[in-house]
Amino acid sequence: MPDNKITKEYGKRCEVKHNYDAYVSHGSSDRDRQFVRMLANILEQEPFNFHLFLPDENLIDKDNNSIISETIKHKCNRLLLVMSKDYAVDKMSDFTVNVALDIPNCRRDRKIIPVIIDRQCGLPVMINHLTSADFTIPEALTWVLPRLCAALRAPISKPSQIKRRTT
Amino acid sequence: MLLVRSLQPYDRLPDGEEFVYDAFVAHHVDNRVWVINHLLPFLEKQRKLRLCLHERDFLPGNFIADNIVNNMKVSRKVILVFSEDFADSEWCLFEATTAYNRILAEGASSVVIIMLEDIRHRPVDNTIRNLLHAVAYIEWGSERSDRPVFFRKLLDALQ
Repeated sequence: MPDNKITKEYGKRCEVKHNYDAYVSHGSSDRDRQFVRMLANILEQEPFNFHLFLPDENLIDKDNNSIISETIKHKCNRLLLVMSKDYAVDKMSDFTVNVALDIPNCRRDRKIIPVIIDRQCGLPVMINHLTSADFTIPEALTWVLPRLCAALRAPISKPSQIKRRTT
Repeated sequence: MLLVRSLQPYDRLPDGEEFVYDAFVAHHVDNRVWVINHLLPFLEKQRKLRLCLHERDFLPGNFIADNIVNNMKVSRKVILVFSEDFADSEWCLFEATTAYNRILAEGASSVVIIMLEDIRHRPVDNTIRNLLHAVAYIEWGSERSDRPVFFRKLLDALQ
């Protein structure tokens, strides 16, 4: 007999709406913060109107990894990883990527979108096979924002329905 | 019927598959400036062809390999821009291998090789060696006077 309490609880968690289009994982240097602020100003306004989770503004307890993990997995559609030379050596970048990699259908739904803001800073090994939105290429600057928006807007598969066994 | 056909942004293959791009451009990142400054203006602006470029048309978050294979599949032709850097790059070799599979399936005319730098006389991977034997390449000359011939040959190869 299925345990109705557990399946009901799990069913509830699956129904939690994703409030945010993306969790923005970024470094703590002024430069990184400035870039994220500038990007958020563009993406959250017309005509894009994305809803971004910015840890600086939306997280009360920035050291609570459980809350960060819960937010990435259940409150946000995707992880936007803003990679700089400083953030490349920060353990938080690895942590947020590992959390996102654990989400079902991570690959199919393109859950992790790397954004590069420093030349040759490299991506974490787990995601260096992903196409990134590179803001360091002067010749391609006019293209990077539309590509980033297309990636953020790409459809997400629905959580699988919980099948109830009948006796 | 003809009017409707001319409004379509892609060609329809007999078996129903559709092309999104006229050509997929496989190049090394260090040759990006050449592609954007020379290939793009002639093929897209002047000749109104639609090219697939990594920097513009690959979706972020996708596996690089998926982007290469899927976009090559929906391109009518593949342009390989050979250079010293191309011959040394793993990702470029992956693109060359995928393009070579096209030749096996569709014939040598589905791939166009631009010899940006002469790599015929240096050690190269077997796939690149086979491509050089299978496909007639178009050389990019250093003189401006060579350009009209280059572009004419390129356009002929892309028909």
